[in-house]
Amino acid sequence: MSSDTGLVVGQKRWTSWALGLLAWAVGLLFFFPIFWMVLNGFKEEIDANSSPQLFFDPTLDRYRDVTSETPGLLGFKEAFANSFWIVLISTILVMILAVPAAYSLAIRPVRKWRDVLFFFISTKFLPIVGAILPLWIIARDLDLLNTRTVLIILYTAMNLPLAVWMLRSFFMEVPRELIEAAQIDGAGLRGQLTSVVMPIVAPGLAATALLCVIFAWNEFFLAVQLNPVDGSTMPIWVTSNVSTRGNFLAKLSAASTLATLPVVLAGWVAQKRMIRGLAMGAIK
Amino acid sequence: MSIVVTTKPDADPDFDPSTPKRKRKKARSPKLPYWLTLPAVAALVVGLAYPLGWQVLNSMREYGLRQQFGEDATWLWFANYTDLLTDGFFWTVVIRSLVFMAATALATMGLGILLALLMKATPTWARVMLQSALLLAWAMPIVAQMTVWNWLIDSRNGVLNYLLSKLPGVDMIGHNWLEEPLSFFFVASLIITWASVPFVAISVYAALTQVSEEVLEAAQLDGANARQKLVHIIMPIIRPVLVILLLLQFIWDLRVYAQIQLLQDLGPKGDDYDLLGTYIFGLGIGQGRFGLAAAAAMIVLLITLCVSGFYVRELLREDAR
Repeated sequence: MSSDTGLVVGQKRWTSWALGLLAWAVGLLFFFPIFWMVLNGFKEEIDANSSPQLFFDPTLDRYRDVTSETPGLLGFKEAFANSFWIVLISTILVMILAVPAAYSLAIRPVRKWRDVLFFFISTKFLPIVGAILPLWIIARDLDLLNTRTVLIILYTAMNLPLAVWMLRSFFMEVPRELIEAAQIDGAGLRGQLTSVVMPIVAPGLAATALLCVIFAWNEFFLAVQLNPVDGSTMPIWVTSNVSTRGNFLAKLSAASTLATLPVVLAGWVAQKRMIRGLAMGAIK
Repeated sequence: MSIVVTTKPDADPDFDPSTPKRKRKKARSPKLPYWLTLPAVAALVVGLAYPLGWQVLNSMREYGLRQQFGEDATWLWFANYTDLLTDGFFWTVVIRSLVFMAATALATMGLGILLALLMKATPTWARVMLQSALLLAWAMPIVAQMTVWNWLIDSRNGVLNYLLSKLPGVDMIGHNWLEEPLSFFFVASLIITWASVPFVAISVYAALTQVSEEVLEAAQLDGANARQKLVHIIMPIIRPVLVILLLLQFIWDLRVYAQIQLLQDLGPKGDDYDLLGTYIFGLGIGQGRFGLAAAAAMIVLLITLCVSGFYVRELLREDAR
């Protein structure tokens, strides 16, 4: 944002370098805690619990510790499988429900669409902490406690409002003239969707789905309250590595790293789309 | 752009020039949008109606552990509400939570906007790194974030105390950052800010990229300075984003639960370390006073609606197309 008058090229380059270095410094500040978490996962407990040190003999023992199965406790494989299926199915359900709704709210507005949208976002106002007891009671009455099903249902409901909100903004990107042109050419709804709408919103769909995946994967409160015994997910498995006896920091770090890896990989691969998706979801 | 349309109709199975016009029109009947919206609305209503209805009902009843196992709940009408509203401690928690919410949300927004501006101004080789680091911090599960922070602020072996003690004349080894309530909430606010800044920064950055360079250049040619460009061109475009982001931060920070609970698990317990989220949880699941907890949750819902409902409606009104 510098003014164009009298800026020598050298000075401009210097500013650019300074800004770049500042950005790196800030980035490292955010990255540093994560870096140390990963590092701690490769340490012996005694090293992790002493004064911070950068150099040590790395070991994979902690990863062996946390992935070894103890009968009666939530194991890594089980937690991973639970998380995987719960996240996958709830995200598919969210998309199935949200895409048509967002489409009609954006392209073929229903009457009072503002109220409908307000309704969607207002469901996010409800403090989930207050709703936990009715949820628990109904889950108990339906025999759903400690099942994957209960989390699939709840995560679908949890992500649905945001997905509708975000998808609508992507659908609004589609120029109306294009759709009208397709209509004039005689394309039915299906034709309009496949030839005009989908190509434009596909990146948005991917971004939205990814966001749902991340939120569902990371959810902690509902999982710990409703599925303390069975059907629990990765975040619960991470906390199961906290023990009252002895040191557990290195183990906890290894477990946290394992729980973080999938979402971080997913987020990183889809970085560009995600950034757009996040923004569009927030903007419109 | 219309090439997309004109070249494709052959591939469209629904497209058949011989189909009478009336028949095709039927498929586009105005009822369709409602049918498309219905499943999502229905799913949410069904999912919400029960917990919300339960909450409204039981906020007006005596509902404790005995009722949970089948005893009839007696109607108290507004007794739960008046109990709470005349309880000095409840007000303490409400005000504490509101202050915590405002401080955390404003810090998050301020830092997020600064980082967004930095991302816009910085060369690509630095922007990519900054974005990756932000995404990484943002995508981490809360429990993993707390693992890291738990260790950073550890009183004996934490990095924070270790680094502070490197300063001449400072000895922070053994200092417990979670002991003092004020310090406890400062740490909590710091952690939540660290975790929410990425979302704000990336969203604002993406909004900034929507500002067209040509318009900025045109303004520059007309003699606008940096401040004028910011106030008259950039701000009007990113304002809706800022409003909705601030709103989301308010909502999330007001009912924050997981981080406070996990921090409390590390040591300090008791009323002095409660915010509304943990307070309601303590009332309900902790003490089994579910009627009271439901009433408290309803009050939080009202506060949230007061803080944000108005803005959401305004935002949607501006959004008219």
